[in-house]
Amino acid sequence: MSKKVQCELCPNECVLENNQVSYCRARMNKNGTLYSRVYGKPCAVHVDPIEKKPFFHFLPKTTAFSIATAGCVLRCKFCQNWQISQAGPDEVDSRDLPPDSVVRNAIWYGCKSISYTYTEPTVFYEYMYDTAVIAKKYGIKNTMHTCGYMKPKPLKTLSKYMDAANVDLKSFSDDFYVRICSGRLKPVLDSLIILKQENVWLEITNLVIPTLNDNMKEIREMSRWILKNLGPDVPIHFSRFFPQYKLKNLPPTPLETLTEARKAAMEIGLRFVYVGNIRHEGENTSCYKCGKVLIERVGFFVKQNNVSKEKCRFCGTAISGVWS
Amino acid sequence: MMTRREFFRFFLMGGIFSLLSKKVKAEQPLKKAMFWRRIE
Repeated sequence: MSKKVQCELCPNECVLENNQVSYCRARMNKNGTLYSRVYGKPCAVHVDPIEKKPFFHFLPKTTAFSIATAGCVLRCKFCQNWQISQAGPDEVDSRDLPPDSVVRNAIWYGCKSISYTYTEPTVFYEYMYDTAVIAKKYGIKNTMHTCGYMKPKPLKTLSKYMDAANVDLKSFSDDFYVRICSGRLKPVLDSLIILKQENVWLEITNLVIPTLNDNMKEIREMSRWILKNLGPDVPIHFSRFFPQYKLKNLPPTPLETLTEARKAAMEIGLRFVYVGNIRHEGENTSCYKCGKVLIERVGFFVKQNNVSKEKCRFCGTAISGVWS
Repeated sequence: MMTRREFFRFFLMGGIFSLLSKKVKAEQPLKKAMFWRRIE
């Protein structure tokens, strides 16, 4: 009997011989059975403000118990966490923290949610899934920051327990995904639609990289797609790039580019458009009807919150999000 | 009153137990993946 297996978790669809490790480095074929190499072994464990994920319309001013294991399904040249995402579990310091301990820790630290983040949570799917099931039982919400590179079946299975997802839409060009990330665009767009259909609260992050994806025509095209397929209420974060990993030759994103992208997306009709990784008024949430500042932020800190009972306190307009 | 000999016996046993406890730390069994298939 053949001992070859195929992973069906992400669009890479790795075919693995016996003892071979997957492209994401987190799975291994052992005698014809596929195993996770990272289950219960996070290499990053932190208590973070939910705004850091970033989630701006999800339980503001609360903390998220955040975990990650080694590995990633993509190979982004600009990765901000490449030390752990582009490494295998045997190359990083990890600790034993089974799912029940994650939930216990989240409760102990007063966190309202658990966040699967830093690296790509798809690679620790089983760990995330088991933790999310337990967390749900104890009234702790689940969130993930993902590149959206997951196949529809596992994503739908996970969505039953996932309360919110921030998806990195790295570009609206398939060529960018191929050349810079070693991935494809379409599976990410499919994931966004699935998450929306499954009623998972959705936010999008777009890291704007000078010369690679800062073309306003492309940003407008992306905004139009979001408006048409996901609606005007999905928040989008245009995040500032800093030279990292294999893209140290590029400068940080100029503030003008970020404000121009924000303006373009708002002109298309998106209601909640933010800039990130920079101190700017574009970090605040404003009511799209009366224009007043609803949530004032400085970095990850919330200075004031004028969303009351899911509505603008000044004019009563409903503001989409998960507020309690 | 504990004699010097009793104290050292107790001290030594404690040391042995603590050394052993580090060595017998159980390895977690590998977790089977959820989404995959065998290729015949």
